[in-house]
Amino acid sequence: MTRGKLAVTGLTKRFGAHVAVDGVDLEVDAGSFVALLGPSGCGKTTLLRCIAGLATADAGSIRIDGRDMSELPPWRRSLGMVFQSYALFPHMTVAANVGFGLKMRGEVDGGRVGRMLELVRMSDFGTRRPAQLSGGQQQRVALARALVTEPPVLLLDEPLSALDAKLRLAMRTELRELQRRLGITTLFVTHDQDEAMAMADRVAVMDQGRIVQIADPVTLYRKPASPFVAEFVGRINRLDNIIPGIASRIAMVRPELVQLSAAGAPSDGARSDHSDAAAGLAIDGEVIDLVFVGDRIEIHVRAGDLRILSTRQSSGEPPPAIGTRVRATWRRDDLLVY
Amino acid sequence: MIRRLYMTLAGAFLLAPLIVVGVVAFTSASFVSFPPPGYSLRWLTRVLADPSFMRPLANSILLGLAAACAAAILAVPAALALARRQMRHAAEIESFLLSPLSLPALILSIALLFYLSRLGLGSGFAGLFVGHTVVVLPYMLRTVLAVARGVDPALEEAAHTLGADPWRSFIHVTLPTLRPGIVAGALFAFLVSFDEVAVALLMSSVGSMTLPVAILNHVAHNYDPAIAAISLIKIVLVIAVLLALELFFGLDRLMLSRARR
Repeated sequence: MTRGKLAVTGLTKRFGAHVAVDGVDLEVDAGSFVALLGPSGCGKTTLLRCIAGLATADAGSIRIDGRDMSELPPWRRSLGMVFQSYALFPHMTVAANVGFGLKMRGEVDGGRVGRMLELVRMSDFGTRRPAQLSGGQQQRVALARALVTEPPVLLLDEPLSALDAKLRLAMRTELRELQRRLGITTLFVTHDQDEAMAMADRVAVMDQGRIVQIADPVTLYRKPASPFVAEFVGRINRLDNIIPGIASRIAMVRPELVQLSAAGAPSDGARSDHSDAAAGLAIDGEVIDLVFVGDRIEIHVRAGDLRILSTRQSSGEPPPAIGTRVRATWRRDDLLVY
Repeated sequence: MIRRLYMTLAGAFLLAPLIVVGVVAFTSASFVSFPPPGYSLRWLTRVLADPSFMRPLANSILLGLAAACAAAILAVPAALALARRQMRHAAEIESFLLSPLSLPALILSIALLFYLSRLGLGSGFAGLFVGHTVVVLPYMLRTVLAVARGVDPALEEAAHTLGADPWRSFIHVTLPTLRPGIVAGALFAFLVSFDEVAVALLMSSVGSMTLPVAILNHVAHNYDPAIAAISLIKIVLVIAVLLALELFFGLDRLMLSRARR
């Protein structure tokens, strides 16, 4: 399906003096899955609501397949939306909920409703009421309801945040598979960076009303455009003031790229420890905590005023015991410098 | 055990007057006495054939329905506006709309009489209608507002994204979710109006008399079992309304948003 290209240009939304969305440009290719990721208050939900038409932007345009939607009220934009609370109509059955969009168009079609329910694996629940469903089931009905009119774009406002951890993980895959199958352009708002990285083709990281970086998950993780992105996506070590020559800039390194060896011993036999430390590629400290997270082990090291985090596979070499003096090292190429 | 006893006594205490009235309605005597010397249908037949009772009965029913409808039409938009919390002075407006509850009925009726007379509605059905709507509106508003406050605002937004413009989302989504509040409110409104004396007393004219006023008038001049008969009819009517609602809709389903049939 090639329809469903979303183009947002210069979108701005103010609430009084507060600028919630600040001149945002966003292009989402037809059929792709983009996540809007950011902390609370960054404007991601406001941006989504502007695209849906539930909030009126102060400036900018919203185009779907070239057609300008900015002047249209939400009931004429034909988009599909899933809300955080699912917002299922409590007085209607599941089937009536799913068929609502069709009914509003005057297209009553039990067959389409049935097929949609099958797609989300809720066929047996057609006559039930929302109050009789579990969270995961409600979520699937909300999805079916949004998709039944075959909209060009699907908007999701933190749809998984009300679910428990295991169900969230299961729904992640289910949602992504469904999206791929239907090939529908999808915009997904979340504050959970694991979720964004796991599901999206591209992730747009937002901060204070702006998109600070938009890239595929790998690029986002390996080449964050700013300290904010580096800290928001994944875990990171800040190496302030220990790297000569760049003391006035910010230097960071990912925990899985921090090697630990016995204090005083070089990590790489060919170099002397002295030059490593002098070059800002090593620091000595003491292991103060070990955290076992199933497949990973986190080793927390205190080095002077700094806290360094090193992570490794739990199936690999066992970690040094708490209290051990260690040397944390990393390679120059792995440094993120701003 | 003690609890059961207490409940039985309390129930008996509450129902006793109604039972006495019901029994006396069937008396064969020409005077009120309990227990009656004999039983007969004469008082019931007399009352049912008497336009000076039947006309007021019809008026009361009509008035109750009209006041409940008017209160619903006014209370639903008010409740929606108040529940959305976007208005300044929402608390003050709410207090104002609920204020008839805090006023002594007689004070309210005197004020209404003066005001409506000025408007030319001093007596007659129109004046009664306005007066009763004012009296029952708080009952309706209270229940509808309680339900409106519990409604997820995202419901209406979801309806919008599914293609429903504001009017259609109101009809298909908002109104149905408010239904429990509206029905409970309408029931209260009807019953309050049906029983209302102060406003009706001051504003009834011969043609627009309500049942409570007619009964009062009768009692003032003759204390006979006709009173018991008409009261029984009134009680039966109210019970019939409640039963009908229970059978057709299920009172629990109508008044509680979560109950299921």
